[in-house]
Amino acid sequence: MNSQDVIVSSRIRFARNVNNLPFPHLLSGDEPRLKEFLNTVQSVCASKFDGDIFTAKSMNIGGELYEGAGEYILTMLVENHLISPSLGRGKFGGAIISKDKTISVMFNEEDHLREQCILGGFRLKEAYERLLEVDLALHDRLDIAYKKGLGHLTACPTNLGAGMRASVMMFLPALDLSGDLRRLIKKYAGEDVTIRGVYGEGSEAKGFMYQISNQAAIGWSEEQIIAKMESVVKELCRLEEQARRAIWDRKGVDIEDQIMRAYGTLLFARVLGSDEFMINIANVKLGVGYGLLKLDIPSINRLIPNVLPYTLSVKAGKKLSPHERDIMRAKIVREALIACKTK
Amino acid sequence: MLCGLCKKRPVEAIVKTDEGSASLCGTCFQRYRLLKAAGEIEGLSDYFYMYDEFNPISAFMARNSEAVCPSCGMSLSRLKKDYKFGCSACYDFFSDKVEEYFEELGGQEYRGRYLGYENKKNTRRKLSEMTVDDLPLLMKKLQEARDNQEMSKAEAIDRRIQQLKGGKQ
Repeated sequence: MNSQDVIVSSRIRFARNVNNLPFPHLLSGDEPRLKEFLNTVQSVCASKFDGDIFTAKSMNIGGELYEGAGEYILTMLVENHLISPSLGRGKFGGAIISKDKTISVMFNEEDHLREQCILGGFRLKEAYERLLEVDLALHDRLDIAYKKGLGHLTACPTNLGAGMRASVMMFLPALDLSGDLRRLIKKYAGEDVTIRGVYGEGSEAKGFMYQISNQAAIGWSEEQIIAKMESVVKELCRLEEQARRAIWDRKGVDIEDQIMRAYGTLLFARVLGSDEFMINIANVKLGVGYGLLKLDIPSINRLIPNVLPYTLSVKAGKKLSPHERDIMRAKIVREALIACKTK
Repeated sequence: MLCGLCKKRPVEAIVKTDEGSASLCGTCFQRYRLLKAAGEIEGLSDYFYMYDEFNPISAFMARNSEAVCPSCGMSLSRLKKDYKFGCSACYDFFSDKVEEYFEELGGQEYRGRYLGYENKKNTRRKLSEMTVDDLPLLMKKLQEARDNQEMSKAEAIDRRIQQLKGGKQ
């Protein structure tokens, strides 16, 4: 097993606000500086990356009209972690998203700006450096709210300080199945690190996908946050490897049977539900980790968000019924698995 | 073009309502938002009528016993309820509450890599460069100067506050 089997992606997010403009929850839309703010954000983003703008709702800011993206596009962006679910609740929220989907700058979410960079694999430092370029350009053009000792001023005081969240998405089936993860969640909560399921409601984690993030802490510098997250992620990788070995030693043939059945289902199914896909793809990934299947893990990781319900509808260009989605999902998965075979 | 209400400062916002529109300066616009949010006025005609009365806006402020951020209208009770500040000036205006939250969140000062920005932003500005947007900060500095018995400094700050309140930039 290597870390590629366990770590899916790395994400850095900055929360920023500007002076002399009410925070998003108090915006009325009449503020003279709102239009100027939006224009500046668009112009800075355009200078840093090739992207598209989406607004959650239709709005008119200082005579400029923005057309709302609509429910399907917005939910697809949420499914792909490019915007937060709460963006759509505000009146003037939107996002500028890079064409390669690695950078997104949300405006008027909880804070005036929520910048983020997502990269595949364990690349927190690289994501941080890339996002810093956008952040520095925004600092150059905007009067970013900042105060000595408190750091970046945010709508919610828990985000004060660096205003930064570092997250790593991990695939932790063995720790989940062994029950060790529950103990680790408690342990890390005491160290200002949270572990929660990526897909699914509440504590449920479909496909054994977990997001590990730093909880906000005013005193932490950016470097401290990244160093802490790197050490936690490395420890989780080591513990996951131990747990996989222990499971294999106890019931190797049963695990192999489960993995091969899952692979068979995904290769031959003609109608594939979302939950069924998540369970089976998790087993296939586990099979790659055990060396039973020769498949390219980054390609599988990219496949998962591509077959989520709203993403499929957007891809099809029309609203699909659940059955139509299941047929489309089965075809995409089948083709992707054949394409991602390695020697 | 000068503000249609105070006739002193340049226009920064155009308010459009069913009863007509008005071109207002930043200060008059902020006051309009604040009074409307507080339910003291229904629309522009109320606001213009109120302005002509004997200093009714100050009277409203005095009547209103609760502390309200002059920049965004956020009240202390709403801040406590929502656990969200209304704007960056709230961090000066509700400084006691900020200290309380700061302690609750660990009380450790931020020492991240943006110290360079901090130096840039904390460059000392002359009083004459302060604008209406700096009023919460000036009020805080006035109190600090009085507390420290720095009377000449307090007088200078008070003079600038009065100028800004009177519409002089």
